Order: sequence, then structure tokens, then C-alpha cells
Amino acid sequence: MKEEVQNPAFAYIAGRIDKMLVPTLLYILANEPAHGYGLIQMVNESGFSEIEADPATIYRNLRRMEEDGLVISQWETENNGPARRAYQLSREGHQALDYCVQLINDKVIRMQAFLEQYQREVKKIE
Amino acid sequence: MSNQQTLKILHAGALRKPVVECAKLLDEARPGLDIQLDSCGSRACARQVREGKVVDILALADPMLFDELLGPEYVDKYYIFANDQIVLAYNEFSRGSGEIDAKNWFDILLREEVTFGRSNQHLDPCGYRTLMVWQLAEQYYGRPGLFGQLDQRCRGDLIYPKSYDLASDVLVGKLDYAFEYLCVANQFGLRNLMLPEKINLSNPAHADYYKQSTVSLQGRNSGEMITIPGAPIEFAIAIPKNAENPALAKDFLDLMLSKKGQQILEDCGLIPY
Repeated sequence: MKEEVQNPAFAYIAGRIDKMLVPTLLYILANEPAHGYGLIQMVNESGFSEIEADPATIYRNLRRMEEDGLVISQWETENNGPARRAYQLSREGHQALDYCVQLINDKVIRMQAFLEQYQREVKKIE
Repeated sequence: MSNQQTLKILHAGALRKPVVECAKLLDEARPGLDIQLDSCGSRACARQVREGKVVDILALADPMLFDELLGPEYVDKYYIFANDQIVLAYNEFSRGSGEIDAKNWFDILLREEVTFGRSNQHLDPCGYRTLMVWQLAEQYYGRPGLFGQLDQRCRGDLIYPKSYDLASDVLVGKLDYAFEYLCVANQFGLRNLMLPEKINLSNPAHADYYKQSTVSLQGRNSGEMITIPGAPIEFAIAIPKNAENPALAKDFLDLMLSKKGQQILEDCGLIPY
């Protein structure tokens, strides 16, 4: 039996898991903190997201993730020159990424079962 | 001796509305402040500071200007806080507006009876970004010579010192179309045609594509020319090193970068970072 999902952010993620944008953002940020500009480039290069990573979409999602406590942002102010807002994953964010992986795994298992049944019953391949 | 209650802000014309809104909020929180706002094209803003104008806040439409014209003597740190895109702004009476779309805009602009403007690339980043859009459009639409045709039609009085004045003239019908930031078109309530992402300089995912376009500009010193490549449109803000009231400036900067500031920027059509 699945663990009951308490965090409302998790329900939001579950409703949009097919688009893969939030899991991709969480995954990238689990590796290292990043700013929005770089995240847009990395999301597009990853090929994981079904949604085109335009700036409005990425920043809207990052703001929502911050409100939900999944990421923490702060301005990089240590050095001279250009400062950007950098995002890093919170403890909740790591839990959300684990939850995404669980959802994706479940989906992969169901899709694999579908493909096997299709091969067996429609294509008659054993 | 400087007045501790005076805050001097010099900003890109495109940032007028968000700067005014943040200034109002600061004024409400700190009654009695004297907030002095001044605006022009961002390159012109940077040059004014180089020529001795003293301000507490400098907000520009291209972060590159801080390095190119102001650092390290005048500014050593700046905050890149928002993103935007170039659109084609027009009004309900603009000639050809009933049929214009992302596939035919250049053909409409090249009609003899249609007028369109841009801002001066030496004064305003929107000007050099417009020239970049035209270069990218030539390649994107497979129309050799398009840049030259648009450039030939947009000369003299059709080149404005700043994009804000350009929008004003579209609003009153002196111009049919203008190449503008989306935030400026929104601030004036103008209609706008969104251009394809590969040419509108909005998306960091296309940064390498944008780099193919280049524009030559007057450099830091008289007679010097520099060539700059296309890049995603970003806005940046700083407290110059010679600010007379850095503490008050810090309060304003913090407000611009705060959640409240983000909301104001978004309401004005910018994408806040």
C-alpha cells in the first residue's frame, strides 16, 4: 500500500508528472545549485521534459517550488560582477525528487506491461 | 553634504513602470523621501554616469553595459533580475494590423504605406537588439537581403533615442509599428505580435543561435567601435560606487529583488528572476 501523500506540492507534482518538467528541475538541482538561466539551458539539453523550457515557464515553476519549500533561492553576492539568484534543493525537494522517481517507476512498469501485452496478443510475438 | 532622504534613480526607459511602482512602495514605507527618477536609453544612462552624473541606483536594460562601460570604476557588482523579449508593437489602427502574423510581418512592414520605427542602437539596447532580430529573421525565414530592406526603410526620424518614446508614438498613431520590449508594449497597452523564439532574443536555450547576429557600436572611448553578439534579453540593477546614499539605495534594491518586486515586474510584463 502506498504511503499517503501529505505535502500539497506532491499532489501538484503527481498531476503533472507526465510533462516531466518538475522532476527534471529537481533532478538537475539535486546535482548542484543553479540559476534560472542555466536551468533553462540544462532542461532543454536534457531532453527529459515534454514542455519547452521557456523563461516564463521555468521561473514560474521555480517560484512555485520555492513557495512549496522544495527549493531555496538566494542571490550570489560573494564575488564582484554579475549576481544571479541561485536555487538549491531543500530537504523537502530531495523527498519530492524521490517521490517523482517512485511515480515514474510505477508508470514505467505499467507501460512495460502494456508493451509486453501488445507484443504478445496483437503482434503474436512470444 | 548629501541629503540622506534623497534617492536618485537613473533607469532604462523600459523599466519606468516597475521602478515607479517600487519607488511608491518605498515612499509609503518611508514617508518624506525625495525620490528623483530620470530615464533614457540604457547606453545613454551608462554614459551619463561615466561623464559624472551621480546616482544612487542604476537600472539598465542590458547587464553587459555594466562590464563594458562602467566596471570596475563605477560599478563592481550588479544584479541580473529579469528577462524580456522583442515584440512588434502596434495599435488597432496600424496599417496591415488585421492581417499581420509571425509569418508575414516583414512583408507588411515593407509595404510602401506602412511606417515602423526602432530605437538608436548607440543609445538604447532595444535598438541594437532590433538590428539583431532583423539579422536573425533573414536567416530564420530564408529571406536573403531582408535585413538590408528593413534597415533601408527605417532611417532618420524613424530611429528614436529610446524605446519608450517609440511606444508613445505608436500609441498616438504617428507610427504604425515599433520594435519594442514586451514590457513596454504592455505598459502602453499596445497590441503586440510575438516573434518566434529563435529570433526574439528571449530564451537562453537559443543563446548560441542568437550569437550569430552582431552589431557594431560606439565603444567606451571616443572613436572606438566594438562588436557585440546577440544574447538573451536581461535587465540588471546596481548601486554605483559613488552613490551619495547607498543605505537608501540598498533598501530600494532589496525591494526590487524581493517577492513584492518580483510581482511588480511580472505585472509589468517582465519575467522576474
